[in-house]
Amino acid sequence: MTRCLRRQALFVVSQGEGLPWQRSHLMRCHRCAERYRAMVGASELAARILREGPLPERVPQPRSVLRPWPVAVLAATGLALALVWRGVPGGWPPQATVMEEADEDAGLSLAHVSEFAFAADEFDAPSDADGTYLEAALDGAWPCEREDGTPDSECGDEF
Amino acid sequence: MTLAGRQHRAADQGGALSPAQGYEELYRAHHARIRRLCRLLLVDRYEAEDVAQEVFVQLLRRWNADDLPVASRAWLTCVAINACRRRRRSRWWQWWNAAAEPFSEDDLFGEGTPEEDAVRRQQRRRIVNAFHRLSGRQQEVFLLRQVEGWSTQEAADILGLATGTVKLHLFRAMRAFQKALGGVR
Repeated sequence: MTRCLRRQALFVVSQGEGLPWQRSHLMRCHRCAERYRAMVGASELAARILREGPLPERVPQPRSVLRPWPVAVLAATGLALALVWRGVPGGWPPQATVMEEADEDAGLSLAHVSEFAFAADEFDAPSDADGTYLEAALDGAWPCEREDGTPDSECGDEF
Repeated sequence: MTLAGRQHRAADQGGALSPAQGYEELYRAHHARIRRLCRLLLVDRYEAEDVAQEVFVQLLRRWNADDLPVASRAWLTCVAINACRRRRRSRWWQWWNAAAEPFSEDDLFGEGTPEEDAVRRQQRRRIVNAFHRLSGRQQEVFLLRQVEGWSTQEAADILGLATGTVKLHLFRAMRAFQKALGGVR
């Protein structure tokens, strides 16, 4: 058999095992002999360095201590604690009073905004009983309306 | 297989205790080897020393109880590897290991010409880093088989593995070293 040996076969031969034809092939084939020497040589060099060389030392790397999962866990725990704390009736701080005051403020301010935005006594919207205003508006014009939006009584005849 | 069984199976030439052999003698004979083994597996010198002490405390207990292992060399190796394995399983060890590089510029060779030193430095760096990228089993098998010179059967007995598994781990470790040195593409 003249086929070159696979890496596994070279390893088996290096362990003192392997079939006779594999060993004889290794004697004849320069390519396989070269591969065998590279495999065994690397292993022997590694063994020698680990056996006799100076021992490795641990060097801490500048790496961020904050990792995503502990941060997420801490955030979730904090949120849960905050919810539990605020949700306990009669707990500290007296949240019921605070909430009532807040609601009152919110109601007042909404009433003021509504009053200001939808004041009824500023001007009367033009009546559009016959649909003229709507029709003109759809055509892109604003009939009977001045620049400030108030109705113009003098232009009624044109439509 | 039990530890006792492993000890009896492991051929331990020169390691069997004679009645006159004292604890100090055993300590002197094996402490440096065990500490180096632990150091290679754990990297941290203080932790390795700690584990080595732990191993010899166990030996002392056996000695005091008059229950000494038959094959002391194999027994000590087995206990040391198991102790290192326990350390490596702990969460903080994994965290610390992930945040550190097992190599230091202080450990370099200082002999020969600068060119030779540079080549050796590079080789050594590649080998050490490749070793620490191996799995725990591959490291143990490589240390026992290639560095300490145990046979496949002995390594299998110490590690509690089948011989085929030992060969597989050794093959992968050897391939990793060859790759690290640029011999495999």
